[in-house]
Amino acid sequence: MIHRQLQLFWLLLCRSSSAIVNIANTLLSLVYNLLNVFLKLSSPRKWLADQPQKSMENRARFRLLHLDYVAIREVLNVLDPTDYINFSKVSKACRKLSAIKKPYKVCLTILTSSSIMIVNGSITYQIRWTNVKNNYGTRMEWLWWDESRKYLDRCSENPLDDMKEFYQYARSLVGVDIDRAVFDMDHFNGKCREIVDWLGLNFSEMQALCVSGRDQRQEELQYVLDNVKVKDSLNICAETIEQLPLKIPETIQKLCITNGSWITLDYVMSLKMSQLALRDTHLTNQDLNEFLKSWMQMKSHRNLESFETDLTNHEDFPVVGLRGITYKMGPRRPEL
Amino acid sequence: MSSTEQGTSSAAPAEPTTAPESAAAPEVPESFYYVHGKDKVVHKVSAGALQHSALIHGMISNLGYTEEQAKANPFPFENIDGDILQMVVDWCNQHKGKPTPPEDTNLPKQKEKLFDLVLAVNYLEIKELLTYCCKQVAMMVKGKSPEEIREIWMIPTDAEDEAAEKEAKKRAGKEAAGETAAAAGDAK
Repeated sequence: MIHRQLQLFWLLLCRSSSAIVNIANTLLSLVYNLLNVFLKLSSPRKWLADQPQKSMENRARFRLLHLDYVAIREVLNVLDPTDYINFSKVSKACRKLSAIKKPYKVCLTILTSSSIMIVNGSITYQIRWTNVKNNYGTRMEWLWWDESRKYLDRCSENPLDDMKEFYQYARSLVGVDIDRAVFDMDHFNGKCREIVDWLGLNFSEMQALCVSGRDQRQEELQYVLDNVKVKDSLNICAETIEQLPLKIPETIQKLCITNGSWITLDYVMSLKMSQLALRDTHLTNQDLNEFLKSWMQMKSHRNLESFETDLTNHEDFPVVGLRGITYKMGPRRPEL
Repeated sequence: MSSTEQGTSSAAPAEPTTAPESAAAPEVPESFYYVHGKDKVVHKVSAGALQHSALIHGMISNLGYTEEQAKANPFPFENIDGDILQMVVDWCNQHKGKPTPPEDTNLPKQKEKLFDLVLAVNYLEIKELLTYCCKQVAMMVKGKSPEEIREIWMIPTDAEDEAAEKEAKKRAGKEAAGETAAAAGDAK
C-alpha cells in the first residue's frame, strides 16, 4: 500500500516538475523580452547604432577611414562624381574629407533631358535626369580614342530641379563653376526666366554658351543674352519669331550665329569680337566687299582674327565680293 | 629564420648568344636586397624590382650596401604581414622594368587582405600599386547609396562619431587630471 502511494507521489512530482519548468521558462522569456523592450526604449540611439555594427560583423567590410590620409585621398580621387557625392553624404566626417576644390570643368545642358557633364581630364561623366522611368540608374560607358565618356541616367519627376539641386550640392562641395551651358529653349517649358535667374544668382560668368530653339520670342532670347554672362564664346542657333537684330554683349571673343537672316551690313560693322561666324544671312556680295575692305584697311574690326560666312551667290563672289581686293583662292573646303 | 628566393631567375647570368661581340654591352650584375615582414620570412628581391618602392629605393640609395651586407641585414617591415609582403614582392617582380598596365586584375578580392595591402603599399610608397588598389577600393561603392557606402566602408554615423569624441575628451581629461595630481604629489 505504502509502496503504491510512493509510486503515485513520484509520478505526480515528475509531472508537476515538468509543468513548473515550462512555466518558469515562459516567465523567464517574458521577463527577458520586457527587459529588452525597456532597454531599447530607454536608449534608442545606442540600440539603433548597434544594429549596423552587428550586421557588419557578419560580413567582411573595409574600414576606409582607418587608412592613411594619402590612401583615403587616392580612393576618393578615383570615385565617380556621383559616388563621390554619395560618399560626402554618409556623415559629417565624410563631408569634411570630400569638401575639396576640384579642377573639374562642368557643362550644363538643357535639351530633351537635363544633364550635367563633369570633365576630369580625359574622362567625362554625364549625369542625365529624364522622366523616362526605364532609364533609372542606367550606366553606360563609351571609349573614344583615349577619351572615356561615362553616362548615368536618373529618372526624375522634375529633371530640371533635380539637376539644379545636384549642381548646387556639387558646387558647395568641390567648388566647381559652370564652364559651358547648352540650352534648347524649346525644352525650357516656360521656365526660361527662372532658369536664367538661377544661373545669374549662382555664378558671375561662364566660358561658353550655346542657345538653340525654334520660333522663340525675341524678348525671351534677348533675356538670356542679357542675363547669362559669357566670357569667351557665344553660339546662337535659336530662331526667333520676330527675326530682329539681337543685342550681343561686347565682352565675348567668339560669336557664331546660325539662322542669321536678320543680320545686316550695319550689324556686322558694329560687332567687336575676334572671331565671327555668321550663317544663313542675307548679306549680299556687295555687303561682304564693303566689310572686307573696311577690315583689311583697318577702318573697323581691329580685333577680328577670323570671319566665316556662307555666300548667297557663289558665282558672283570673286567679281563682286572681292572687287578691289588682292586674293588667292585656296582649296575648296569639304562640305561638313 | 627561413628564406624564400624571390626574383632569383634574373640573377643567373645569361648565356652569351650569337650576337656580335662589339654590339654586346657589358653586363652589370644585378644587385639583390632582402626584406622580411612580421613572419620573419626573408624575401630576396632585385634592386630593379625594389625601385617601385620609393621608401626602399631611398633606403638603398642611402645605405650603399654590398651584397654580403645586404644579405646580413634584411630590411625589417615588422608592421607588414608575411603574406601581404609576399604579394608586394611578387607584384614588384612581375612589373620589374615594365610599364605598368592601366588595370591589374591580380589584386586580392578579399576586403581584409586588400585593406592590409593598401596599408603596406602606402607605407612602402609604391605609387602604381597604390593606384590599382585604390581603384579596386573605389569599385566597392560604385553606384551605391550613402547608406550602402556607410555599411561597406564601415563609416560611423555622426552620433557614433560624437560619442567617440566625447569619450576621447573624457579620457584625455582624466589623464590630465591624473598627471596634475602626480605632479602635485611629486612637489610635496
